[in-house]
Amino acid sequence: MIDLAEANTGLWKDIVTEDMGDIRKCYNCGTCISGCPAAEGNPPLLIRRLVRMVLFGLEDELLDDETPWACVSCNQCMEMCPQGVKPFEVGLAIRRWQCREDETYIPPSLPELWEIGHTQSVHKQGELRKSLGLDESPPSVVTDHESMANFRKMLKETAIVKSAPYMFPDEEE
Amino acid sequence: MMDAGRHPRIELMTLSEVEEVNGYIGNFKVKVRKKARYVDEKECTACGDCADVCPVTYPDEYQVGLGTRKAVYIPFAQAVPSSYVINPENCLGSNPIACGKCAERCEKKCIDFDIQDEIVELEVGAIIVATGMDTYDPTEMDEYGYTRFQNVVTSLEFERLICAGGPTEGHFVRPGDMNRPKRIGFVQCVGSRMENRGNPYCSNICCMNTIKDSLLLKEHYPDTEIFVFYIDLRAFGKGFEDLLKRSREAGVNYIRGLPGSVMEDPETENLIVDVENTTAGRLEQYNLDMLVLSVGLEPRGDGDPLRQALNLSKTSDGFLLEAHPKLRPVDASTPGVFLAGCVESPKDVKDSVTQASAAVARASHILTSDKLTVEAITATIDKEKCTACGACAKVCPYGAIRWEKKTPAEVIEAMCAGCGTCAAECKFDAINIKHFSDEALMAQTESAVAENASERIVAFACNWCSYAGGDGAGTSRLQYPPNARIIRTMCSGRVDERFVLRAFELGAPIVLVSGCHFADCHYIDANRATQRRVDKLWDKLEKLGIRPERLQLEWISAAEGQKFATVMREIEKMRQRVTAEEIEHTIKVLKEDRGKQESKRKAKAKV
Repeated sequence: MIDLAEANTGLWKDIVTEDMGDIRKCYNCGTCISGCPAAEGNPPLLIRRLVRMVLFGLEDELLDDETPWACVSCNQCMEMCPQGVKPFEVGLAIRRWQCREDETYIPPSLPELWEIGHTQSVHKQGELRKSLGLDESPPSVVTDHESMANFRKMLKETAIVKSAPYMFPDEEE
Repeated sequence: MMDAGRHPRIELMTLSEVEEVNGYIGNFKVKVRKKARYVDEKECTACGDCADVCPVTYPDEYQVGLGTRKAVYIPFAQAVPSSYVINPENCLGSNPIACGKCAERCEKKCIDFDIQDEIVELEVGAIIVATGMDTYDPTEMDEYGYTRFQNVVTSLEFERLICAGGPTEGHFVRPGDMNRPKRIGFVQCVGSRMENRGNPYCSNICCMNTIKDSLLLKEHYPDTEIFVFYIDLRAFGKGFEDLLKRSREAGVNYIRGLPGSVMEDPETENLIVDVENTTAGRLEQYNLDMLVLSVGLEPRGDGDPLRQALNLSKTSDGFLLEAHPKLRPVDASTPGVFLAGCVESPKDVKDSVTQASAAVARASHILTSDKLTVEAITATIDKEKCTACGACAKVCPYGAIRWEKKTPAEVIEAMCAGCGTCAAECKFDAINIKHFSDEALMAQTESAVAENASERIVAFACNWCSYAGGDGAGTSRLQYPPNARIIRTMCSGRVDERFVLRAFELGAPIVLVSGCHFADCHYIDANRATQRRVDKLWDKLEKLGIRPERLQLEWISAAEGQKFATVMREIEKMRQRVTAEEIEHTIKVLKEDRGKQESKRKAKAKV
């Protein structure tokens, strides 16, 4: 059960800024989720609930929540929100807040990026693809070894990967 | 409408536009353009022969484009007069080479292409504005696919499709393939309660309209599956909750959550709707035969010319503003003009009829007597002092001052409500208010500070709100400092800058101006002028080296006795902080300033 007495009611002030629209205007219509491609993911990214969590000040739950990293930046939620809230920006703000709160925080999507080149699993529909006469994996960075090597080279240059090299073992080594 | 058309004492002027309104309550002169129908309405028997031969076909406005009409047509079955009309924009023309088929065919020879628009001048005593509203066009909400997908319709189109007088004569079909839809979704709040598109307000009628539609469907076709996607269901009126309950019992599914995307199955033309069911906490997908967008109401796009002709104001939503939201809800700000129906705000039939009945009663009150009794408190203008600057006409909330360049202003007493904001605005002392004259108010101000001036608080309070608030504080036995001297004016807009400066000049430590809250002003918006004047005074005081805090402005309503007492206590604390030196300085500075102003005026008079 959620105990609101222990919630940090000022949390939203730490996370959102004025340019993200007034998130207090959210009336929970759910428009942002129903067109969201990442809402179909596993676990689903439910941006409306994340906005609720920010408003309620559920700090611990929000810190452990990995779904903000599943956003594919399509921007559809921002276009459709009837209240002028910018859910996509709030999602990004939650990511930044998670990193600020915990210096050792490594976004869960980073190992995924390292491993499969995407934040969303692209292998999920393997059988369906096969039944339609397509390759099991879609033609992307995953199947192109050269691109994948280059991509990892790029990732290695980022500060966050440098800070935790043990998390990102190179298969060839 | 036909009943009204047949009534011996009602003259319905259809296809007509109001061009000009002059005069005032009881004596309006209205210029109406009666547009040419090109058909003699008295001779026409509505046989329809002309429409049979008319070669032009256009979308029928009455059927919201779902049916067709000819260039010569009857707008709808019960139209008044029951006569055909030619739309000159659609018609090919009278030239026999171009067309003219209808004129040839008409046996009674009542089609005449030479008929001209007619200007009718009417003298009326009262005017009721009931010009209605528009509905929101959901095309801009592209995620719902209106106009991209054939089976996405608006609630108005749905109404035509299920109506016996509609294009399908009551056989309910979907536009895509003319089959009966069996799974139907309704999306609520389309164009309502939206900050970034559509309108920010709730349109009042759409929830109940959808509930009614759902019951209609269930009655006609019990096997229909209905899904209503909503954020909040607002069933707030008499019998409304009961209707919602019946709809739920009939098996209509109410799902809390608005769809964010609608896709069309290209084969079946069915609609695939994604929605988050926020009560169940899961994402759901619906495959529907038809999707109805429950569109909101908007002010009419073409309403502004009439509004300006009648000198009416509108709210930020664009609907017409009533004279007072609680006490005069059907009166417009112009005396003798009344509002009814959706022109004032979105409302259902019952509310419209209620408001219309009230408007008629208010209007007949004016019409039944030869003389109009008005409040004795009105403005008078001294023609010798008036310089015809027009400042008074600009601030008058009622448009009761007639003014033209170079001729002295004139008050139309029947329209004047007596707020006195014109008198406060006039720089030349040319305007006085009966019962609240400059002399009387100045004398009150002077006597308030005649003795022990440094212990007094001079408080100007408006009759309707702040003075009543003070009364409220008294009858509730609330304690507040006894050294306030309250001067009553009808409106805070009556408080002339000179009264305030005079009080300070005679040694008043603190002056309070108080009135009704904004939008609650009993003289429409005269308290906006108060705010402006006090702002100006604050600037002036600061320039003269007087602390602006010594002039206080407060909005206190009649119900806020508690607030009145609190404000008075706060002001007493402020008064105690005003030092004797400060007062002395103020007196000196203001005397000098008045001397300067007077010598300036004298110099001007000599020139």
